[in-house]
Amino acid sequence: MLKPDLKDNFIYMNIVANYLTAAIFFFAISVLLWLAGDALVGHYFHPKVLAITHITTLGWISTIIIGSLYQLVPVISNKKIHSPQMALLSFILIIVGTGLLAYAFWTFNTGRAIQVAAGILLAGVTVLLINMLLTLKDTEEKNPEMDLILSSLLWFWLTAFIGTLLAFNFEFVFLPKEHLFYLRLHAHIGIIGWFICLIIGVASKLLPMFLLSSKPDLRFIRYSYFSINIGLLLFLIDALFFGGITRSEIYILVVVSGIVSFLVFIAKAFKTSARKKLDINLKHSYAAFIFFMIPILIWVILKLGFVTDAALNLQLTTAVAFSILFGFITFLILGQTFKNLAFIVWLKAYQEVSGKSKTPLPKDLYSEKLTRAQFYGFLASFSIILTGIILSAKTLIQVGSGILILTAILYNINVFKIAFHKRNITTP
Amino acid sequence: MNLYSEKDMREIEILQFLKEVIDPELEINIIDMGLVYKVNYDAAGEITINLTLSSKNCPMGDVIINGVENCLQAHFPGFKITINMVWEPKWTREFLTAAGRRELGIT
Repeated sequence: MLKPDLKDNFIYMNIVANYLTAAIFFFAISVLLWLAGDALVGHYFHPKVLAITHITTLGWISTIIIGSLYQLVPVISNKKIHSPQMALLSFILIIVGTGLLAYAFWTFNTGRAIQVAAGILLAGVTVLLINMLLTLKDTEEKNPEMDLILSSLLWFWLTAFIGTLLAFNFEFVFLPKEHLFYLRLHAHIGIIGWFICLIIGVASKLLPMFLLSSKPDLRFIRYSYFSINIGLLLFLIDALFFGGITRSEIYILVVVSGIVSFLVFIAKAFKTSARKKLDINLKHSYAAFIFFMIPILIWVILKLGFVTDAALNLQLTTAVAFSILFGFITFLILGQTFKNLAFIVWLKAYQEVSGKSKTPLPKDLYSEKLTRAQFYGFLASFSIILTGIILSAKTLIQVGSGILILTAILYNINVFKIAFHKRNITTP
Repeated sequence: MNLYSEKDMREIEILQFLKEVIDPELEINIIDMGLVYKVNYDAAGEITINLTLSSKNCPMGDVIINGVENCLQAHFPGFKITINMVWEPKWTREFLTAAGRRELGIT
């Protein structure tokens, strides 16, 4: 066992490593989109689209939110992370697995490479889940935020498990239904169960705190928890055992009602905020929540049958996934990184001397100018790529990806600046 | 004749010193945030502070508590510093001072 101080240090290093790795993956995504953006025009079951999607969901989004989990879970559960060694092991397994999986998809190596990658990833996610379960067991704190985080981890494991089955199914074809059927389950569980549940759990705790909102009404979050989890569970059971994939819209509607409930909660948090001057990071969050309406609207348009053209239908389906992963989740992360990472690095450097010496503030650890440029850069690149996807315009996707590369460079400069910050204090 | 006792003077002084403790997220000092509910100065060598946070799980909690301790130890070396965390009454924005409201952009 590590001594408490060393244990904290180990977790600190792990959190920073998660942020740094995720930032590098974000840059890699922007380059790959620029190189292979034309693959976004056509069917989404395309090797390069699959490679980019998995780097985005695992290397970028999951890596960064796992880092924030190590930060947030001790705060809301009043318990330290059970095992820093397990945290490190799962980090290594997930990163190695993601790299190998991306290579396997990019080269469409559906044999040994993809199977090994999926196995490593499943092992990494299993270690993460066990570590979190051991951390949260016996906690006296009970709240819907923690229930959402816990359920999201279970969905993450299930997503990785179905993904592993799919990886082996390429070669051995043992699954009773067609490959795309399971791919659909894998994608829905991953995006809704893992990402959305986790984001609701984390954001419903952090945003009212950052905004100094008055009396956040947790009934909205409790409703989100039940409707999203029940909707997703029914979707899965009906699809697997009763062939009910055609009824999936009913369950997704239940899930969407939970998401809307969360959006109402967030709107109230912004409305009752005592902070009338939003910093640039909170502006990222604000924009992300507005952009979350885009995939919901496109999904409703698709389901109401307004689009009869098959090619456009396919493009709009890709647009739904793209706008959830980029318009909502990535936008949210781009802002929250500078709240969470700056805070944890600041804490490490200055907590002991706070009130004793003059210290910089967390916001002094990075360049706000670059963050502002990043905001507008991302806004432009997302809008241009999304338009390119909907209109099947490859040039637009390439132009948008070019701007995304610049945005990712700005983001990386700031993340590295924070991670390698040197303590700087002046005694009054 | 002095209108204030020695104890009153010291407690006012402590409130001034505590303005050096900043909430690093909001960039406002804890006095203008209205987080300090009570200050008690005992000339025998003890200072007691009743402190609250804007929410129970506030991630800045440890930083603020540490800041209060460090600040008072620097100004009153040798004194015993006791910090009581108080959750009643619950902090609301009404506790902000006029300066705090200005800094947050509340008109």
